[in-house]
Amino acid sequence: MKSRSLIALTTSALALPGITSTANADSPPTESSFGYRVSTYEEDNLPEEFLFLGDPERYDITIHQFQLVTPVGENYGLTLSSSYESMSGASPWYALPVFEGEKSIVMSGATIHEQRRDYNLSLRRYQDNGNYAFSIGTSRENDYYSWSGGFDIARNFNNDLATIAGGVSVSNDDINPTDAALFNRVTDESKRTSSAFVSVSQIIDQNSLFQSSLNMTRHKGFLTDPYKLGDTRPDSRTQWAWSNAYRRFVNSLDAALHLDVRFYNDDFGVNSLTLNAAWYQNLGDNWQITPSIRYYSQSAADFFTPVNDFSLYGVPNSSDYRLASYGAVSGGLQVQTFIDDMSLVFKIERYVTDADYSIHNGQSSPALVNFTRMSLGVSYTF
Amino acid sequence: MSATPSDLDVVFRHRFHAMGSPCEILLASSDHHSPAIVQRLELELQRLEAKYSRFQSSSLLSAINQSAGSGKSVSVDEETERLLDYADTCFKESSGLFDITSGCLKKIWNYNDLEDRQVLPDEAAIRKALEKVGWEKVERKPGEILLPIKGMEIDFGGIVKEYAADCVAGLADNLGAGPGMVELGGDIRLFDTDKSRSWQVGIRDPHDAYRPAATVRLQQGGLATSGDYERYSVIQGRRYSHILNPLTGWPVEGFSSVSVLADQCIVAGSAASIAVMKGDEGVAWLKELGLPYLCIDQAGQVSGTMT
Repeated sequence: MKSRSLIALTTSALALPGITSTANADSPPTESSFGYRVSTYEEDNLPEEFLFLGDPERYDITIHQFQLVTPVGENYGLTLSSSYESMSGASPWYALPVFEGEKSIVMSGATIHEQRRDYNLSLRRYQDNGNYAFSIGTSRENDYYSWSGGFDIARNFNNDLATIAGGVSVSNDDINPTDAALFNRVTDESKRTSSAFVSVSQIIDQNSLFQSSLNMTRHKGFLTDPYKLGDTRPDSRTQWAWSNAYRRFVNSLDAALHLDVRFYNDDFGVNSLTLNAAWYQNLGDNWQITPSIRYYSQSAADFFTPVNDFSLYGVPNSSDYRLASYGAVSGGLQVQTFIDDMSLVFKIERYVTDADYSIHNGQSSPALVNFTRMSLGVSYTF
Repeated sequence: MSATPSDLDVVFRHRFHAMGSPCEILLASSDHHSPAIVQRLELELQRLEAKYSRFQSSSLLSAINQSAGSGKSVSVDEETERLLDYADTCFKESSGLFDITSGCLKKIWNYNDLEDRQVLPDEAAIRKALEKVGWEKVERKPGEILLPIKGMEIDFGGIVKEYAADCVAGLADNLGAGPGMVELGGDIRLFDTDKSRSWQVGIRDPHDAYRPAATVRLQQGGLATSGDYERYSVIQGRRYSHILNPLTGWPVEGFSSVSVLADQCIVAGSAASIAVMKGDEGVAWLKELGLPYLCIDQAGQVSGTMT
């Protein structure tokens, strides 16, 4: 990542009529860095008034993430990342019809304890006018195994002021739900996912940057949630997302504004809009404080039903709150400090969701979840 | 500063004087076009000198400076407009330390007079000079500039000579001069480069004009040096840099010399100047930029990332 001051000076210099460009080589990392971050994600418990059966305590997740970036030879960079996630809690199992004042959500009976381990490896080659990388990864839970592979490439133009990038990836998931015989769940299902993206980014002037990207993802296979009762979903899903980012540095305040807008659509019938704003305020040379706010709204999937209709066996229907119409607002605060070759970061985020926050159509779910997320990270360059 | 290519023989060398400095153009290969090419390159330097010299009364820069305080703006062409934009970027990125209006401070510090003096300039004189300093006071409209205060001056030192090196390199490429190097009073820009060639450049010791303080190998880009070479005052036995802080009016107390390597010589030059102006914080600035650099402190100690 180039220094912002250097981009400012170079952009200004390249505007001079006598200066011709020299294409810049993309540079691989010259130093190794190690990062570790621990995050906790704690869902609010389901309000008692909605609970019919089960444990009101929803998911608590703790995630440990490790990353090592190191140069290999003169032109390559290797990134090894791994995460370990432990989950406990209960998630909604099915939803019942509700009469005024009655309880409707059935949480899955016992508290779930789960662990997930992910490993990813990518090797990136840096060239005179861009870079490309191959990556592979695996993810494993006790009832689930996934592998993935990908390739991406970026090319710089116009004195590195513009970059066009693209990539493809594929993954395969094998799903073997636990307690399949007991609850009449499926066994040995699988899902294949392929995805592609293109993006273009342009440095507008010495203080601002715009990036736009289009992503298509196609899932085929078993897309139903095996742990939800009466949940049946189509066996393919095509998703489109168009993301736009604008970054502006404000010299006089030594701060940067980040604005993001994302439009999403899929053939389940879900449309969504995400708006994100963050203010990165530098305080002296060693501190940075970042308040951020995000708004999210989505429509319900075509086959979403707020309560399970068990007569619809085999026909697409789901009461999963993630397929309901809802809106969400979240606010976060991040504090980062830099001490020599080390950086420490703390972030707290509060997420609140409600059917009324949605600007989209469709029915909502009583199982919408609020959560608080906290993370603490450290990174070290050597 | 001296330069010799290490992995090839220089077969064409042209030395001349322009922009107040000794200049040199080196071409790695020569044919019957070479004399005409270097003549054309020298002409480009004469063009820029005629436009931006502070000492030629017919220059555009002199016209701008002579208009100061008259209330009348001066029309400027595209190239000058972009140079003023560049100066504006330097001003902002250095939080006001790099200021092209700070030239009139130099008069009260008498840099042309190397005789030992007994007295420092008095504070009242510095304050009075500071009234004529301040890029933020300059009024700009598209294609026009107005210096609002009589006696105010613009000086493209730290920008124009470096820009000229970039212009010469660009023109050399266009003329098909082949691999080569231009050096203008210590500021260097390579042209038609590839990874198979490197040029060995000696960075002059600020305290000993005839000795290199360090030798570096360049493969591409521009190398510029800022420091108190030759131009300083000795007052009551103490050496005062010719680089003045436009906010205080006093000479900066930082490195004796800073050299920076960048893709463009103009960027290298302003990065080096700002590092010297920043004094103790100069190294942090250079590290933030991520450009290779070499510093020489007042005791002659060499440090940095350039090899």
